[in-house]
Amino acid sequence: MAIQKPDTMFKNIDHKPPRKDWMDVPADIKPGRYCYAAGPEPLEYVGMPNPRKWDPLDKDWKLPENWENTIITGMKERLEKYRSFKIFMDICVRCGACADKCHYFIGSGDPKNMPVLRAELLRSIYRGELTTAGQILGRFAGGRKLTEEVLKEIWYYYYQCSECRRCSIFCPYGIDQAEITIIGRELLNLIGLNIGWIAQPVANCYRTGNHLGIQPHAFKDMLEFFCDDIEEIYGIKPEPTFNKVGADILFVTPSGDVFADPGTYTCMGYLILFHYLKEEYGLDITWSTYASEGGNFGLFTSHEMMKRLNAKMYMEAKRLGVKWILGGECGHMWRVIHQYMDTMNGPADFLEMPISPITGTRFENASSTKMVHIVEFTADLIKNGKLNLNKSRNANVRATYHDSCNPARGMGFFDEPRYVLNNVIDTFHEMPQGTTKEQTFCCGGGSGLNAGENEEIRMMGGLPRANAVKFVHDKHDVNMLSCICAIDRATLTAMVDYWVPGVQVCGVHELVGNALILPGEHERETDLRGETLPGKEEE
Amino acid sequence: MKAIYSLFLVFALILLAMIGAGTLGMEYLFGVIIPYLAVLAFVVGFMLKVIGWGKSAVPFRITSTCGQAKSFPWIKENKLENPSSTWGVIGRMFFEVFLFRSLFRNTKVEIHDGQRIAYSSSKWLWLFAILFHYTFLVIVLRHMRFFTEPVPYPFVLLDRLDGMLQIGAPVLYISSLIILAALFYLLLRRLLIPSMRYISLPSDYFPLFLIIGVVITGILMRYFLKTDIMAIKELSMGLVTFRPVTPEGIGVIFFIHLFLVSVLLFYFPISKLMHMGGVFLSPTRNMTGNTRMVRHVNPWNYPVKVHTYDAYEDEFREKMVEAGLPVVKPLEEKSENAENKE
Amino acid sequence: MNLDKLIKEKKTQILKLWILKFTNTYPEESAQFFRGGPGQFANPVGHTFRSNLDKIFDELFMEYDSKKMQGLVDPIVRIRAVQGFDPSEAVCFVPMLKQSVWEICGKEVTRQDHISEWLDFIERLELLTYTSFDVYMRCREQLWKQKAEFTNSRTHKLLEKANLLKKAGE
Repeated sequence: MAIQKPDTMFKNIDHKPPRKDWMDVPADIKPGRYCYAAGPEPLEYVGMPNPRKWDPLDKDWKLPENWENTIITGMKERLEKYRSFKIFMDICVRCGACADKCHYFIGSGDPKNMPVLRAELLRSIYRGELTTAGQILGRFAGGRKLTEEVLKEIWYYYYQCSECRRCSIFCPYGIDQAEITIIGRELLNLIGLNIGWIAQPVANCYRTGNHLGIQPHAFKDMLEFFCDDIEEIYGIKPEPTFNKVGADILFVTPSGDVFADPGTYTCMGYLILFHYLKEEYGLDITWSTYASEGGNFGLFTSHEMMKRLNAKMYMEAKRLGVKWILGGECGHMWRVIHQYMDTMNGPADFLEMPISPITGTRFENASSTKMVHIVEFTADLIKNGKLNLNKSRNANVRATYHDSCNPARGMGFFDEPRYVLNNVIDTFHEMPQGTTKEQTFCCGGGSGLNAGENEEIRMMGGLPRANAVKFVHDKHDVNMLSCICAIDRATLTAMVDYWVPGVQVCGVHELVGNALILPGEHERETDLRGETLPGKEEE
Repeated sequence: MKAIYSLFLVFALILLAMIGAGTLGMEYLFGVIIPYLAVLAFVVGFMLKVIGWGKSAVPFRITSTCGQAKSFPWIKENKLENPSSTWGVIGRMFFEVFLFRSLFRNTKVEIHDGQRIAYSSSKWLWLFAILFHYTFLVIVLRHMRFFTEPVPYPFVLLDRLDGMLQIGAPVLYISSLIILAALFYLLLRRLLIPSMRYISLPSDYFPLFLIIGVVITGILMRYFLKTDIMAIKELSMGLVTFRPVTPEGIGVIFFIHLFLVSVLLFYFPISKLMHMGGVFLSPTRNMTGNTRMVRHVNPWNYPVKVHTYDAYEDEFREKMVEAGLPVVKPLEEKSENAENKE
Repeated sequence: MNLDKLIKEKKTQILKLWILKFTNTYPEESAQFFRGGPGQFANPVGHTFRSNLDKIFDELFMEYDSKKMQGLVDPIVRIRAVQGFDPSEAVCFVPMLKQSVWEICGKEVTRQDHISEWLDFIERLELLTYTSFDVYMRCREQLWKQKAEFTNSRTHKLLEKANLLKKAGE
């Protein structure tokens, strides 16, 4: 009888290979978990090393000659340039506090997705190649040599880290895997090991100002297309200005808001708000086609590339002669602005201290960088009663809020978005503690990993977030996941569609746009998505 | 395997001391020369390591923010978890270094009966880590009575407090019990939890076994294999006053204890144990989170190649004019100097 | 005593073995995490497996309700469908239940008067297999659909149509 022979059918997965040390288990690059390699064109365009056509599944990665030396020298150099890197290489005690905090580990169960092990991949090279003890004692001191196998492993797993920093807050020494990943990827880029989904946006952004390579006229067309949509709903057409010299404020937002649903609705929200401020208070906010990208995929490439892309914002603000810069809803863009921008491309002495011309509030917290987050800007307007809001136009919405990783753990931006939300919607429910604020879970697609081909790892990584959303969806009938990040809006949409059907994703300013009453508007039948408002159903 | 290697290494060290100080009678080597070298190696090694870290630049302020940032006056700032002032940073570091704040963050959330949410915590690691570190400190301080004459009152008091259970003679130290419990917890979780076993290296087991060796030899000496305390004190006082002597009658167990401590001191600066110094320098914890308010300067900031507006306009001028976007130069002229600049 | 009742009585043992077998399809390091790591929110995979296998077990002995059963199977299969398993591996928890029951109550099952009940139980499990494959296929189809839509996002397509995109390097 067949049933008397248990466990035969699934022997291939039930069977445990003899236990091996992790250093002896080479990476098995699985489809669905890796992103396609960067082709030669984008690398050539921005002058990155070793541009060529290659495939991670091939045996030969077409590495440059003497690549080992390039990496080792690169590590040495970075150990001197970044105290963070040096300390994080030296002091980990492998206590395991971070091990089960990574969303990719929680979802996939791949042991090398434990943050500690992800770091050890690089640390073992550091010990084996750069410390005396490791060079003499080798494996006993936890060191190993840099081989092609090891390099592939590092590439595979460093593009399975979304630089979300969740592990870092549980580490007793503040070891930040995001920082190690950033430097690890920087090293990989020295020998041309980038992924297409990062390299192409970087090159596009460098050339046209935004990730998609939208040319200036098309960028303008897109926004005007939104204005037409708004006119249909409100009966009023906003008239944004572009590249306007002498405007009060320059506005920069991720281009995802301009091209990808549901970010486009958030973009309409900005347009409505700016139109309102122009009509009511005469505030002149301009968009730039040159600096038309807030997001900075340079952060996922190298510090230098981050600086090269970020430079456009100050350059454009200077050229246009604006007072200060307003930034849209974006996650890693704000990590760059908050923690890198001023240091890299400042001081912004050509700009003024950011003061809201409408409320007179001085944004003391942005006094040096001179860049204000649109959510704090709006929160201040609401606090001072400067916006005419009607919550009932969000009556369809039962929202929760996803703290995007970078504004959470790279800024501490928690109460501002919640304040705005509570003023534009009636129904708001927090997700359970341990999944929000500084402990928030990543969407699964941060740091340039929101590609199409790595869908499985994105879904696995998104599960912890989705699971918390499902809880409030089941318990409180929440149907909207709001957030302040363009990558979130793109990634979470597919992610909740898979895990928690029935929940949509939106930016905070989409809800602001819905609630804001424009002077002279006609009565609204639908919200920005064209969905009929309650009580407006046709008889 | 990794654990067994480390265990054998510690046994080998014990054997070395037994043969060296016992059989071969090299008491001066094990009682004076090695301890002196060990202290020297520890102090110099520790300093070199910290100076090495200090020499590395801090190009960016990459604080991990674990609380509400300084914002409007009407939003409550979390001054400890996301400090905007030096005092806040000092507070944050105090909680981190003395109370292991981050390890304490380990809350687990459970749902009971489908509705009620309960926040239980999984803080065993925190508890045993903190027990280990503090008892270790107590034990180190308690040993000061071997290096001081007369013994200052605080050390006497500490000694009395530690022995306040008044069990046995000589009285049992509470710290002996706690540190053994904590060490075995830390060891067992590495051995028994598969994920911990997977990430552990020989250099994780070795210091554990070494410290266990130190503790056990210490306990043996005090409670079981009685040694001549006065002779030991003579030796230790000789060491600190730089008039080293090796009195008769000190059991070999003492030399094993001392040798293991010496090895620990040698090993310290080149190992993960340097987290003791590193925790103070960790850039994600020891910096303020208000980078937009106070500019941070990168000492090696250098100019980079950027794509200028002029180069951009040159490429797209025609289309921009067609779309009614303002341009700086009219269509006919091509701007000079429109190359990408440094 | 009838077989169903017997199996139900041994639920704790069977369930434990069943979860063990199922989580053993992962590497040892994570298997333990999925089996024991607490927290509905800190460990969604483990929590889903544990609580839903439990409920599926109970449901097998109730009036057959295909919708309810699908609802219980769905979260498990949905997770397995993105974890890089082959289809048969993704739904292997069904035969694993059979194996677990066999290992715990094997002797009883072979008793002559229990054969017809055992066959009945197997039949229910077969139904469960079909349900699981249905769910699995739905999940995979949804993923492919998303992939297709990913490259065809509304406005991006529009831009391309109008030939308005210029990619660097072209």
